[in-house]
Amino acid sequence: MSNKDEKSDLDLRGSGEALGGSGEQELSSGERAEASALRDSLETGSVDAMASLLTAALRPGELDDAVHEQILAAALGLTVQSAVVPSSVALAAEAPADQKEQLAADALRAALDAQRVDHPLVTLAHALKNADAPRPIDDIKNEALLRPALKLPSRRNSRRVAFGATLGALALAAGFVGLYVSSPGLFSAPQAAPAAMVAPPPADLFVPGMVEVRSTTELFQAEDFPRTGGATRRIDRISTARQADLRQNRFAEWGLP
Amino acid sequence: MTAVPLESPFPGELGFAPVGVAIRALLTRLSMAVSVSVQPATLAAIVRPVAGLRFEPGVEQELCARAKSGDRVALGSILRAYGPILYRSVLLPRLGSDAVAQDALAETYARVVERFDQYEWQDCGVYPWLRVVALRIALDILRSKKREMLFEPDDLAREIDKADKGGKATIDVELYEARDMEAARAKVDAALKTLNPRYERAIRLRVLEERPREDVARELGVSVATFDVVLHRALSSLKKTLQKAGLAPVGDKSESAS
Repeated sequence: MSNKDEKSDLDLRGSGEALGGSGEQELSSGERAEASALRDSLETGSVDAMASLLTAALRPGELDDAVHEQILAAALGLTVQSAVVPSSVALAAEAPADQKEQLAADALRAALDAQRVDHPLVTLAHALKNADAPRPIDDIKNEALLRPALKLPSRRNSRRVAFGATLGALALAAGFVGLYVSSPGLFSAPQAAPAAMVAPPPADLFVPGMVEVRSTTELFQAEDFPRTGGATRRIDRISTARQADLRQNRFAEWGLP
Repeated sequence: MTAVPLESPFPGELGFAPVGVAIRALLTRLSMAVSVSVQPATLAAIVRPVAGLRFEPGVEQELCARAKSGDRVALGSILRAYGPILYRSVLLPRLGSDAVAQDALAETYARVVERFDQYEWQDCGVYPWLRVVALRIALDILRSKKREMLFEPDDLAREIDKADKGGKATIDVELYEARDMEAARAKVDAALKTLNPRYERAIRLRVLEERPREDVARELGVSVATFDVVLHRALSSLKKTLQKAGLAPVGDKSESAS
């Protein structure tokens, strides 16, 4: 025991002798306050150095299991990750929660129920679970991870590519056919082709009164068409002219004047 | 060990389908439970290799030789057999999160494909080499993210050193698997032992055993609402302990402070 402790003991004995000798009137107000504080702390179980010494001597408590494990592990030379658990933590395990803590506990419960990994304590819980009893990886997931590494095309992707290419080719072909049917002039020689170069229809198909095959050049000799641009108007004019020609030819074929 | 299908027409050409997975799973169970040795050529005509199956040493050596010469089908067979083991016993316990562990497995596959030409056959088989590759990937992730718990980079560095020295190389993949998983469980136990016994019990029952909170509350002798608070305190306390040791995620200060 240190000199200071010895002095405290002496002072305490002195107080006791004085109390026993002349009664409570000799207590000062400061002493009363200290005595009151000591009584309160003993009753509420809060830790006071002197009270702890006296309690430990008179009523030694049980050694906390966690503390014992720590001491034992240290003695056996095992790895210990943290210092001894303070007994105050053990006492606080069931202490009432304030509103903030209750809210945090509710949030944790909700996050655990929803398996939300954005909650840090849920992340920790998952880490514990995954270290203690890791689940196997799903076969499909494993395959999805493996294929890119091996650079093997997946069947689904291959199908998608093939389907897309086929569909694209069909759409392109249909577009060309449609365009050709609706406006065959677009695929003929440029409009500057001279009329003399256009082949006459076969003689057996020719009916008197029919409009002869002709170039579209003559349709655009009017000065209102610019040299460039105006494609829509040009197509409209060709279409109108060809429709008129077709109508005329059908009438001629049927023998109508 | 059970014989395994090898000559696989598998993957790129035949693709992948859930039905195939189910068939393979069924065949796996049958082959393991009844100990039927299936002829490779016969089974290969029906299904692809089963993830998680082990190879006979001679067959594995032949596969490795083919893979080393650039045969991706052979390498795919090896990785299909051992990848799930790496995930479950090496990556997931050390990295803690499914998503991170899956990223690590993908990275492991990529690195194996890239460097398999450097692999030299050993009598202990290819798994120890694959395990070291996976450990190195996990170590890189632990060092870069600094948010995983329980395992610290030094733990993995020590494991890699030990494996590099070839101390206890064995051909038994299951032994590696068991050792790795036991090491992870020991980490969990050590971490939980630092807690108040009530906290440890709350975490064991609710998190590790995944028992309903009502049951756990009853077992601890508290109301369900009080149990929620106890579990919150327990996990917060564990997080603080791990943070002190420099291992825990540091994302949410408020949680650790509560």
